[in-house]
Amino acid sequence: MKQLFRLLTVYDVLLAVFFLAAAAAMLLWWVNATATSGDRVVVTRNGQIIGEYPLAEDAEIELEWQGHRNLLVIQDHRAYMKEANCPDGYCLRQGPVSRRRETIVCLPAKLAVTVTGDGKGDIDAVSR
Amino acid sequence: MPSPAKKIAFNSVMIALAAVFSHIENLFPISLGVPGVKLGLANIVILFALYVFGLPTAAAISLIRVLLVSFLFGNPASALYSLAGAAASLLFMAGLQKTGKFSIIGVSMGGGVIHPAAQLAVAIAVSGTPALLAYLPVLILTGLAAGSLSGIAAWQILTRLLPIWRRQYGPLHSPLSGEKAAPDTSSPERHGS
Repeated sequence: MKQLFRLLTVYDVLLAVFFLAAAAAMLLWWVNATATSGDRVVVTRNGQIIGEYPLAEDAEIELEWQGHRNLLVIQDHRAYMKEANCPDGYCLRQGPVSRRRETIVCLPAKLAVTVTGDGKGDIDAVSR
Repeated sequence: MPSPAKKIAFNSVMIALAAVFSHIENLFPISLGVPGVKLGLANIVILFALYVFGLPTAAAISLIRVLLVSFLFGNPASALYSLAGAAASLLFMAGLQKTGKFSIIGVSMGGGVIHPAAQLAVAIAVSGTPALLAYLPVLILTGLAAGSLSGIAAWQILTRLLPIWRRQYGPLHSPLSGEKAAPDTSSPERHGS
């Protein structure tokens, strides 16, 4: 341990602090950016919008493309990926999403499900 | 420096080690819901090569490692991600090393962060999904931790090997410490053997 502290330079510490600060700033921005709930999800494939669905209506959406199958489910104002035949299955663990800018990504299928909206689905909006 | 034949033998051993480390990582993926979180065991070998032999050797080992693992266990898509991560992190580490201001730990931390960041950049370009940027803070933190660990591992291995290496082949290509630390890293009390 003593040897480790002797080895480390000021610049090592500065580099670590820089990375930590960058990550913290991005996380803070993210928490702030997703603070409001959205009212619909936009589905994009390869960067192209292929569908838009309101979060207010429960739905099951089959998304098929070049052998990739994904089943997107909207339930109780939240969207999640219920089924996917991609090898890693990351998209299944990313949901459910309901707040603005929250996203489910399935890389093999080049699929992204992003929550958008002006927050009209908010509790604030209801009480207004 | 060792003879050409010995150098070939050293390089082969390092390629084999790096490939095995990569494969072990693929067998036991760390699952945090964020793709690309890895321990980066192969980085220990790359750091070793970078400090003992220099950038060209490290680059060759890294390239052959990526191709080998992708052809044996992966697919063309995984080769692209691995190549981008490996190339970017190696160049960044060589750059940090060249400034002479960072120790091997700092160099490794830089590589650990840049590796997943470069892969993320490729993923965003390939999929056309900028929303993937949301993963970046997590990848920076895990990369920083993984880089520190592999840096400490490489440093420990190198300090233990240093006396033997010096006796046989002379100094390393690059000292383990930055400029600010004590210049002679091989004095007996430093590695405590």
